[in-house]
Amino acid sequence: MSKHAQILSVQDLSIEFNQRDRIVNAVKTISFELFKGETLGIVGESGSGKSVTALSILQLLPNTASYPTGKIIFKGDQQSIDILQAQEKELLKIRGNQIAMIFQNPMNSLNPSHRCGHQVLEAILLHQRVSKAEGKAQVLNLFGQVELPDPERIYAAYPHQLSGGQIQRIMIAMAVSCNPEILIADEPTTALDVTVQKSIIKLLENIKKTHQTSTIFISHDLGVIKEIADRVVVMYRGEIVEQGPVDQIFNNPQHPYTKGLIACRPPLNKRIAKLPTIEDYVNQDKSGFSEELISPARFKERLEVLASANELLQVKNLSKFYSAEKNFLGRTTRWTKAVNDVSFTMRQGETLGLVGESGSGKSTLGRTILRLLDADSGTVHFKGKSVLDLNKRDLKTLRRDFQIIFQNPYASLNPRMRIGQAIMEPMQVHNLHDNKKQRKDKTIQLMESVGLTADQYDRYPHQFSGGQRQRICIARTLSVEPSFIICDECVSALDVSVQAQILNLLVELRDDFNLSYIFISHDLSVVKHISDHVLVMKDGKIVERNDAENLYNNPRESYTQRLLDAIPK
Amino acid sequence: MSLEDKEGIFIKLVKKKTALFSILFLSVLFILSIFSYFIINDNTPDSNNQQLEIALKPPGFRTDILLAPKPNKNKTNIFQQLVNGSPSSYDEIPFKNITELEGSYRLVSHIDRLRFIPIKQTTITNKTYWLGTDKFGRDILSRLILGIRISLVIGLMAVCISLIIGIAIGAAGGYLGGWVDKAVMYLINITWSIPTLLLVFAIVIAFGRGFYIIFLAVGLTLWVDVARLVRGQVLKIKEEEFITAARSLSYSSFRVIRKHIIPNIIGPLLVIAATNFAVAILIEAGLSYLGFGIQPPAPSVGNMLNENYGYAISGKPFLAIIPALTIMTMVLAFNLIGSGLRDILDVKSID
Repeated sequence: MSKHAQILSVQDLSIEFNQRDRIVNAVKTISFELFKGETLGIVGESGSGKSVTALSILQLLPNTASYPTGKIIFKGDQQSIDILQAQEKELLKIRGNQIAMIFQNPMNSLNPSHRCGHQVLEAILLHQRVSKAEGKAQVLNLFGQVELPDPERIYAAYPHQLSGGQIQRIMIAMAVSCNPEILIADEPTTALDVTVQKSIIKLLENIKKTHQTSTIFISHDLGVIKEIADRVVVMYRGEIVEQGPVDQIFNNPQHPYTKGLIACRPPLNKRIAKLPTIEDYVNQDKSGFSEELISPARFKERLEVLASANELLQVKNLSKFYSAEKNFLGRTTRWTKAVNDVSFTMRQGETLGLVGESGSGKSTLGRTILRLLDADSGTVHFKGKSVLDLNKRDLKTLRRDFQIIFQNPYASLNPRMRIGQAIMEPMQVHNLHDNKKQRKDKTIQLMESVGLTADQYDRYPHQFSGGQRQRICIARTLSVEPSFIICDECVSALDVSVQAQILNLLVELRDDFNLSYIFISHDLSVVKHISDHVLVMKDGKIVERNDAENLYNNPRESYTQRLLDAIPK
Repeated sequence: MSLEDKEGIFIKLVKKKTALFSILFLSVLFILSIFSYFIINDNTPDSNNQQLEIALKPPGFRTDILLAPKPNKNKTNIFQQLVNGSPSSYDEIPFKNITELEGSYRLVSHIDRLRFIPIKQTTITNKTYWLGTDKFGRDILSRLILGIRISLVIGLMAVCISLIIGIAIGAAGGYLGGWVDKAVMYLINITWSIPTLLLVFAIVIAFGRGFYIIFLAVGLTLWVDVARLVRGQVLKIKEEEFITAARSLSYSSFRVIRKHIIPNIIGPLLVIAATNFAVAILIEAGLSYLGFGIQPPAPSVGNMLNENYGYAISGKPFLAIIPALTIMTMVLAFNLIGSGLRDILDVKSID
């Protein structure tokens, strides 16, 4: 690979942001090269500066950004140019034409009020001297290349009529429409389901082969990077800590951060009690991480103990429909069956995983069980009580016993409420403990048990990172001392290293407080790590139930098999 | 910027020049209003000290005055003075020329009439009418300040009433949904379809023309905007995960609205409060202008305009210009604060 000519060279690049009264160093003197025809993966967690770096290559950063040092040399076919010094006019020629970009959130990157085909056509007409008819032919051809079904129909469709995966394909078509020399893909698969992610990665590889483009692929997901990249750059807090060929990075990582990042993903091939975290590697005083394996025999033993435990939750023929189409009289003519005739049971102390792709109804199921949504039919029994028949007062009492932790720690805390108050409020509402003093003591005790400190009591949510906020949410949930918690994608919005910490915390709390979980996630490796049994959901139905190890080793359903295959190894 | 920002809303507002000027201007008006009877020249109730001899004098008019004590004095305490002013304990007699004559003063008045007053217990002083006098010879500046005071009081009360009703109804409709929401929307649409002034007329005619009726009437028309805004904001915030979290912990609806929703819509509420303040002042001025509002002799910028608009083209335009400019600057100041707040809080979906 490296015999090829350099096409882009970033030298000692620093990027600063002027934020009112302070300057933030987003990127600190980094250097890397991109060679012709290769895929360079940039991996790092949120705040590592990977996206900022990508945007700087196209000069798309806001005006508050400045570049104290460095050069970005683009060596195109015609000319060699330092992008940081280039005039706006020259940049216009480069952007989209010679360097194209694909963004993370496909749903936001197309204009919702224009037909998809026209938007791609517009990009073509802007950069190439072709007639409209020729342009349209090109667009249809491109749609074929990105494997969109029925290009004519999609040409005339509006963005909301298409799925996320299809829109991302259109974005790729738009990006490659002018035969760019460099394609920058910023987390292009993060918002997509695993199966869709797999097909998009395949597509990008094909595009690279047919168009001979060089690609910069940015992701937080090591698995994806490992599949697609030839060389990898690892970024951490604005610096490049390690770069090299993909095999070397993954098989023989040098920097402790890289080691930690690779290790903290839940493994698929073995079962361990506790996930390593980045701190275990980065902190010098700790002597690395010693993993505690859970042997198949030990796991089997646990399953047997669970099998003899009391029944905690019994769901029978539960259904929840949404109206999808109404006629002009307002009567529903078509229903979306979000949860369709679902039955299962779980035992006390068990952790039940619930996996499925987006739209499979797993979140709706969780919320219907807790009666945050009204079920259309079926029964739910929790500790023998029929949840769906409870009156308001009994439901309130029961809510102390079963709880939920949400996906987005940024959205699930009231931004105008101090976190101590937020954790204490449920105790006030449910009249737990005798007086304010005791509640406050209990709050602080809870904060400490989830890894926060007492002096953070009076802070507001925005002063915390995502991981810390999720800890606050967990503390708030625990304040009513529940025995059963539904974790609704509660680690999906977090970085891998933080995800490992939260997963460890959940396991710890499960053992300390004797909790049972329903763990809802689209990420099969996470579900496998934490669950005893796993339910696989598809289109509102449960297609498979098995214990965690068996499900991964011998899946019975082809759908499960497909999900497993799609996990980036 | 988001509400999460550390800097207070007020500090950011003060950093904007137009908003800062507006705030300073209105603060001065508020202070003037509170202590008006202690500050103004004519501190009789409603500044209704009529001196027909010096009617229609231009701004800056200055005259000597003879103070002759009235036979019966009525005492007022300081609180009454602050609220209502105190009736003058003197007869004020403005004059152009004075000579002493056998124990009496011989006064030549401004309309060249002669008058004799016994010297006993009288004092001579002088007075400046900074904004001139109206057709009854009353001090325009004094009446203007009292008029501003009435505008601000009515604005304040109307905004409070509209906020209380609007937040309650809007939040109930938005949060509870279902038939409650339908009823709320029905009420909002009905109220909205009636022209504001017409509705206020109806209320004023039905309940009489008191001072309290006016701000009640204005408040009862302005709540619609607040309710609509609150309902929309509640519908949006209701979908946030922290509200679902609160529901999953069995918080009562009232608690969720009070502790989790209202604090998050303070920004838009501030904007609409500022705008409504301006609207209330305008409605009050309009009512008084049409004779349905503050009743003479009590001064208000509206009825001052009504009394004097005829002079706008007959050689003494300042009589009409002064109250008109006052209304304009007050409304402008509130609107500037409103738009300043809107910029800071990045409130988009109002109106």
